[in-house]
Amino acid sequence: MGDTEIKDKVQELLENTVNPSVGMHGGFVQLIDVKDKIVYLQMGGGCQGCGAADVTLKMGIERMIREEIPEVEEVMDTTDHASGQNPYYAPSKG
Amino acid sequence: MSRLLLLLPTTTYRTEAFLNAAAKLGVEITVASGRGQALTDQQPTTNLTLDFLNPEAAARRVVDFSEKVPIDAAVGVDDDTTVLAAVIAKALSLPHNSVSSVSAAKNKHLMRELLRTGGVPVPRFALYSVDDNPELIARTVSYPCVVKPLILAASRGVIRANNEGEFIAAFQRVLKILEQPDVSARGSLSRNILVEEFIPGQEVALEGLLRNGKLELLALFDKPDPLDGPFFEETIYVTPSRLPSSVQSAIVETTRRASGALGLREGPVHAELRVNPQGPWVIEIAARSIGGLCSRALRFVSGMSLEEIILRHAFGWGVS
Repeated sequence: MGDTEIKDKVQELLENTVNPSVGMHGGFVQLIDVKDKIVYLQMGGGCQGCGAADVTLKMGIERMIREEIPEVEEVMDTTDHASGQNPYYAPSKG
Repeated sequence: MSRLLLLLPTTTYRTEAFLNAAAKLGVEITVASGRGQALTDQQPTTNLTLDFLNPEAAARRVVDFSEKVPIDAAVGVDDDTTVLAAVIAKALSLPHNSVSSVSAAKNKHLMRELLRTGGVPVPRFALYSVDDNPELIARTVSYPCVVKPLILAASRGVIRANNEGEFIAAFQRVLKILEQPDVSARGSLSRNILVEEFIPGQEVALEGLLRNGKLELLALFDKPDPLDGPFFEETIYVTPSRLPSSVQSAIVETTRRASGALGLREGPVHAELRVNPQGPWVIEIAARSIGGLCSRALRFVSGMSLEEIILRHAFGWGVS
């Protein structure tokens, strides 16, 4: 499967499955690009800077992408989480 | 394949480090959070929502869950989830610290009582209710003193007072912190305030791992900035320590005795001590690893991260 097909499938997954759910937390996930079977994503809204963003990405989105598209080699988060203005769960030291 | 139950508050900075460590070890992961994760419905074996404020109910839920998805280790990352991990590990018959020992490490007053009983040097201390009159207390305490909540980490609400006026102001300031919804939700521990003697001296932080009751030193941090208050914000940590080896040995030995006094036997220990001519004094000891992003500065044998060491120990695997 080429990068273009991967891009289409990831886009479909984000639109139909991921974004309706993360939208419940005020967030969204965008596909930035697919190059050499590496998927580049960006998180926004409530996901940007969220204390649970890594869980959403690695334990949710990345797994779903790998299950749906085994050809994907890596999923990269390009989000600048430090600039998140309204994270759904704000990180703190306790 | 072994499966890790990772107890992650939604507010922690530690998620990436623990997930990376688990991935490096090649174990399956179920993340349990106190509040709903966005994709729990889509990934029900890897995401679990538990009532972190009700450990017994959370443990029952994990026991039910583990009948379909067996759990081989339960690890918490902060004070609250460390207690929860002990309750869950007990329910699953996994190796664990006693619930009483990790609960004591989370309660600054109970911790000090056990340390004092065990002959470990701690500041003189007294416990007050949030309903007590600070003006009356101010006349009875010795100065300088330190006012602090029983719970909370990262020096939140820890304030030095040098006289009655400063004490009243500090007490009232801590009251405001304890009234915040996320703190007051933590129950009776948010209804008390600890007042203790200020211990002058150089502050250090010790990172260790307990294995069958034996303490292994992982890192000793100097805190070169003078921490004399009135606030004790965390600034610079330097490791390896530049203290003389005899002083370092005394710090390790004091932490070992403190761990034993609380009854801790397994897993990470993070201790804060002050060192002065009388020797090391234990200011805090927690049954967890260092917080925030500090662990990123640490690398151990074969490039292992602190989190990898913690997970390997939780699975009963060797570290070296």
